[in-house]
Amino acid sequence: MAFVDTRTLGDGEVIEADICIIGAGPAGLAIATAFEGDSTRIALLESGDNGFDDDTQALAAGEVVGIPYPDLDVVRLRMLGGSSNHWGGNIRPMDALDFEVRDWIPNSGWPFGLEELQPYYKRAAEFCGVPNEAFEIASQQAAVGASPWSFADDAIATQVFQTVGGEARALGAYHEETLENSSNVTTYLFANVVDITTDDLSSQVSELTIRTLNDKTLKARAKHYVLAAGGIENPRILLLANKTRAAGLGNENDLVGRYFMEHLTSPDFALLFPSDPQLDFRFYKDFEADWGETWGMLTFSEEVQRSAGLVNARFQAAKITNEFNKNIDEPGMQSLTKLVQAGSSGRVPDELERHLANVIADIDDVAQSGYYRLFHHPNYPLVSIDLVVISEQIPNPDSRVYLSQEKDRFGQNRCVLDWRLTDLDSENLTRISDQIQRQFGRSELGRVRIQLPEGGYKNINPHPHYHHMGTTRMDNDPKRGVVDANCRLHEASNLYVAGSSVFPTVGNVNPTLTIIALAYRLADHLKGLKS
Amino acid sequence: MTAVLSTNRRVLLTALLALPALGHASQASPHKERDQLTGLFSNRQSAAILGQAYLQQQPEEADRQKLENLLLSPGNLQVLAPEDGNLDQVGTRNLKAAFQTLRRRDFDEGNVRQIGGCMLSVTELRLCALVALS
Ligand SMILES: Cc1cc2nc3c(=O)[nH]c(=O)nc-3n(C[C@H](O)[C@H](O)[C@H](O)COP(=O)(O)OP(=O)(O)OC[C@H]3O[C@@H](n4cnc5c(N)ncnc54)[C@H](O)[C@@H]3O)c2cc1C
Repeated sequence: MAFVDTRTLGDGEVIEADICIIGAGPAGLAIATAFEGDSTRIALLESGDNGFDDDTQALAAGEVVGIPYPDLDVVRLRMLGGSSNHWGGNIRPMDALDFEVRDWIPNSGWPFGLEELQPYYKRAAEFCGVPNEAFEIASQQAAVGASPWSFADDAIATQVFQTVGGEARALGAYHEETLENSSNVTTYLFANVVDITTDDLSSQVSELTIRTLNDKTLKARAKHYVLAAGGIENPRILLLANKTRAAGLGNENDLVGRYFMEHLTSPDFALLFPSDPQLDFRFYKDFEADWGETWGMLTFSEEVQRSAGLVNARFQAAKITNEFNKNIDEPGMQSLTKLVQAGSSGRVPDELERHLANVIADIDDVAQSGYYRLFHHPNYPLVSIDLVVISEQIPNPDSRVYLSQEKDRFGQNRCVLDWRLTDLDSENLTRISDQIQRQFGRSELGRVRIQLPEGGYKNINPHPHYHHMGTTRMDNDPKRGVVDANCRLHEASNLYVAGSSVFPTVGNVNPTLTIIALAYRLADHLKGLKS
Repeated sequence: MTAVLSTNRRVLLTALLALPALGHASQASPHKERDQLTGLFSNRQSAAILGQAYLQQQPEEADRQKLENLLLSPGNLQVLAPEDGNLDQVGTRNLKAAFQTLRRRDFDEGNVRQIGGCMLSVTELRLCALVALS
């Protein structure tokens, strides 16, 4: 059925299908292609072209208040493949604990566990062209010829991440041929869904309104509808669908747009001084694979997360500095004097790192690598590894997307992103710092230095990842969630939501593999309804 | 002071302060192996600097005898010299290993301090402080 340029269709024309999917990003694409070859008629309605289009992209603009964030028309893309046209391609399934109710994290808990998503994660990895076994430690070990670091009581675990590369990176282009050749999926390009119409009780969607940039208005009708327009646009479209209920569709409990979450990163925050300057970190470095890249990262064990009451966080070994520790040889107690002076003003000079490196190596007894003592005595090389911390944000109802007074070219309210953190997030960062320092120390692997901005944890400037999550959260209780466990709107029984907007909590991993897994699960659910 | 206590202090200080022999490592020495292991810190200046930073936080411990008592507390001696509480027979290598056990215990029990943003065990910092005062 291939591709249709909606601008060429007649004004007032009606598109009929069994399922209408709004948005052809990774979520919409996965659902549509899951039906490929089926008898179900799918209309995949995509706002953009199969390449970049300035006028369409301008529809993505919005306002930013709250924590500074890049412009909203920069952090997402309106074209076939959605934001996967400029994503980093980093993927990994979420952890089992991420799905559980954790009593130390308010509003945590998915309506199902990891085991429910496992088979779909497998298909999601294939969708991205990545072999499933690539996530296994043994496979990475064999590929890089190195082992992960070993921590006391396995308090810190190593996990393997993949970076989708090559042809698969732009998921729209990667699956374009499948869409092109599909007998039952029609992809409508330049089809901007501007309204969702329901019956008087808003319990059933009856049709969608589509506008094109050449000023045509069309309708689309189906038995089922899937909203897959991205984590900011999903709530916007629901809030704009306000003809039946002024608060918007699915918003009877004022939840649509709330609980916006991002992953939290503080660059230059933690520095590892390994006890052994020769510590093998190959497992954690990017390793080129046939499908892209693969690399290891560190995360706290479930037990540590539970006992220390932590959010899920991961640590990536980023920049490595390896410098021979030469300056320390300076005679006299110059450095000591400096340190004492600095100490009284609360500042510690940089050469502390060199002294730490020496003392830590001695104390952790790297004496088997007596090499250093023999040839470079008395100083060890100064090796330090930047540890990038990426953690989940705690669900916060005040962090949200809502409608702006500004209008787009169709006269529709743009959206406002008001991203907010709470004290609980900074408290968690404190706890994470404490644990990472403690676990490296007790495992005799080194010491971690935390570099805080003036004013402490509260003043850490979170670096956005462009992961837009939580804004139509999933919960079987309509008072706590916009969609149920099947991603179906509580309010309208034939409207489903796909994408990271349904995530109740977000773990520490990038969202797209989970988005795709959930999309496959939703496709199976819809197939089940049909049968 | 009992004889064992004074021996223990002497052994601790010797281990901390004995000059490592690396400057002479290339020379033939019948004691090369032992010499290389002598000394808990190969760079005493570094240890002294960290020790000094610790003493700034804990000025009440800025006393050699007090530090020795803390490091050689009965609880620590059970780890350092489990046989008879006498360090004389322990040997530097074993002493180092025992201090590692103590340090790990510190991390487990939260007996740690932050020096310049780095979490260090109180035992290792007290050893550094002793170097600073010696
Ligand atoms: C710079 C960057 C780097 C990233 N790196 C990673 C990474 O390494 N790993 C990772 O997992 N994630 C990453 N992400 C996030 C990732 O891109 C998203 O999670 C993913 O694209 C979301 O997929 P989606 O299908 O839900 O939404 P989108 O990709 O946003 O797709 C939504 C689609 O809906 C269409 N649409 C919107 N509104 C309408 C409408 N009204 N009518 C019709 N169609 C509409 C859009 O045109 C778009 O094609 C990154 C994002 C960015 C911006």
